[in-house]
Amino acid sequence: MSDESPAPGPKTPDERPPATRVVDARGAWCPGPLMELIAAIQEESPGAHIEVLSSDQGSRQDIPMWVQKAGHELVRMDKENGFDRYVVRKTH
Amino acid sequence: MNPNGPTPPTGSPAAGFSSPQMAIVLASGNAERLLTFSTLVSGAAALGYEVMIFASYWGLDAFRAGKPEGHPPLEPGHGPEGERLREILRDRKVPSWKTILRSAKAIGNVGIFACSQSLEVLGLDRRDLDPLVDDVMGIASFVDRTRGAQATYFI
Amino acid sequence: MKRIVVLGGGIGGTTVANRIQRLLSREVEQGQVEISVVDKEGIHAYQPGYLMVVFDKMRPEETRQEESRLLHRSIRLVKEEVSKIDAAGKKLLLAGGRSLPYDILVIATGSVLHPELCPGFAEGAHSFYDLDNAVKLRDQLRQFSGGRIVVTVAGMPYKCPVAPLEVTFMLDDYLRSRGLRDKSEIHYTYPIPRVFGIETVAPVMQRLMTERGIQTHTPFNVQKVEAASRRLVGVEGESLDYDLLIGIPPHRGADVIAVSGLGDKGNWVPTDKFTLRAENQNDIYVLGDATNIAISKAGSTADYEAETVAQSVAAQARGLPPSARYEGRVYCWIMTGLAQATYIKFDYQHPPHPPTPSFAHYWNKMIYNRVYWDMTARAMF
Repeated sequence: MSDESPAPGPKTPDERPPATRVVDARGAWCPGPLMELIAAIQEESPGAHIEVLSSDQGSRQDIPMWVQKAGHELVRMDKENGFDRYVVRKTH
Repeated sequence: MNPNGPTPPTGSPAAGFSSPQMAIVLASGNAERLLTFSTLVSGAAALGYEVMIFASYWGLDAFRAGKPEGHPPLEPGHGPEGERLREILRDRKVPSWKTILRSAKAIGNVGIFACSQSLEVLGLDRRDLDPLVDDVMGIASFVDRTRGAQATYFI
Repeated sequence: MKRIVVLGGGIGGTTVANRIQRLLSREVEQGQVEISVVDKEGIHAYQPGYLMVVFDKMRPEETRQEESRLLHRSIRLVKEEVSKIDAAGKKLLLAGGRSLPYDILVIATGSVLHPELCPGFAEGAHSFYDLDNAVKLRDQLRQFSGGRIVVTVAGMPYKCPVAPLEVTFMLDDYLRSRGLRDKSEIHYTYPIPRVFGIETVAPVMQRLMTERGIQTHTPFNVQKVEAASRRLVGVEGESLDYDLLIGIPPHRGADVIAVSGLGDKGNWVPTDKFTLRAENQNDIYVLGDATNIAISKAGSTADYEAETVAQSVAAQARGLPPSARYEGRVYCWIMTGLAQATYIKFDYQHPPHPPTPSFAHYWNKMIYNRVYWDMTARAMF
């Protein structure tokens, strides 16, 4: 058995933490996936797992960048059929 | 330009807005053509078109400052019918082409540019032009700025 | 007899009630269907007018109308507060003690301002999201003689996404018209890394701001307002001193949604984005700000959603399958000066591409402000 840590990237669906809240922001130009994420983070409690579904290319930069800047955790990002699923944990 | 607000941008592809564009080259100076021209600009501006106008020769001369406010001369060669047209314009109190153009500029996005070459040939300077004229431009620049125009007219 | 109850008499509730009446006019006339609208105050507010009040383009009285004058005469207006929605028992419990049973319920309870959720906001920030504060800001601006103005969004979601852009552009124009622009700075902050949510719109708005000397700070999420020292503090570490702070306060869904156990953490009702049915509930539709749908909380959204909900409610009342779908349509004007505007028009499939700002678009908006009462509220068209 090798010593490598598990490969990053998509895990199987059963390895996804249970979502406290799912935000379906597909086709949401306005307010947009990132703003929906920020709103959910403001409303939920620390420790919550928020999933955001986005069909928007810009989210791929926006969401990881903002999550890092705000000090939360991007748990995983999965590419699904025609959209991306971001799982964010509110840390504080 | 709209006295109530900041200058709206023209040349929308550069500014990033999304309006259809109309390009007009105006080379005529008689009343019939200038009235047709102004009405066209007016309709387009109301519909949200960005209207870009290039004035050359007699079209440019029409914008010379100090010209009387009323109707310029009609196109010659129309005999008695022509004379009748002059009376009709007067009796029906048809507004002058400049009045119509001013309103169009106030409500919509209309850019009026003087042909640099015509300016020189006519011996005019920028300061000799009506304030309705926004700037001086060469024909190549105008062609470039209006390359994506959905509607193009030569008057 | 089928009882259709609409909770809320704003743009969503009023237009959906009138549209349902139109679709079911025969049944209503024959007493087979009864439509009621429940609204505590019974005053219908035209909220887009508040920004116009700030800049003296509308008078406060022009932004209000008696709800009873907007509803079709066959619709019952119940001017009482609702203490709870009993979804299992299919009835509304009114504050006075009696209950109002329903066969089909439409929730149109809107959003509520909660300035207290942002520390220091109530003490330090001006706003224009309710009439009193709009009038206060109008009066403050009349006395303004130069300085630094900061525009900020203090929480999300918030209704009327374009409002921060509009107040900023109108301020710039207003200061120029008073000869104060040279003595002033305008700073615009926004919670995401661009000046507006929609990617096809943000760049052109940023360009306009740059052209007009408006300084932008993004991303900027408000941590608190230090009212005494007049400083706006952001969670990203940046702070801005201000002479005048104009903020959009935090929003939540109506309290009754929480009390009734129908909402999420923000008191927004989980709603299907196409059918507009409340998830996990029978016979309840939701529209306007009250939903949890990831879409602009705008008046036009409520109006377009009301078309779909009215059709579904009418079909259901007739025993037919409610198959109407809302495709995400929104239409918002964006003021870019005191007498200049553009607009954005979009749906779930198509992002917007705003046309070049002009007086003509502003004129259209001002005309709409007048015909709103008949065209939209009374659903004449």
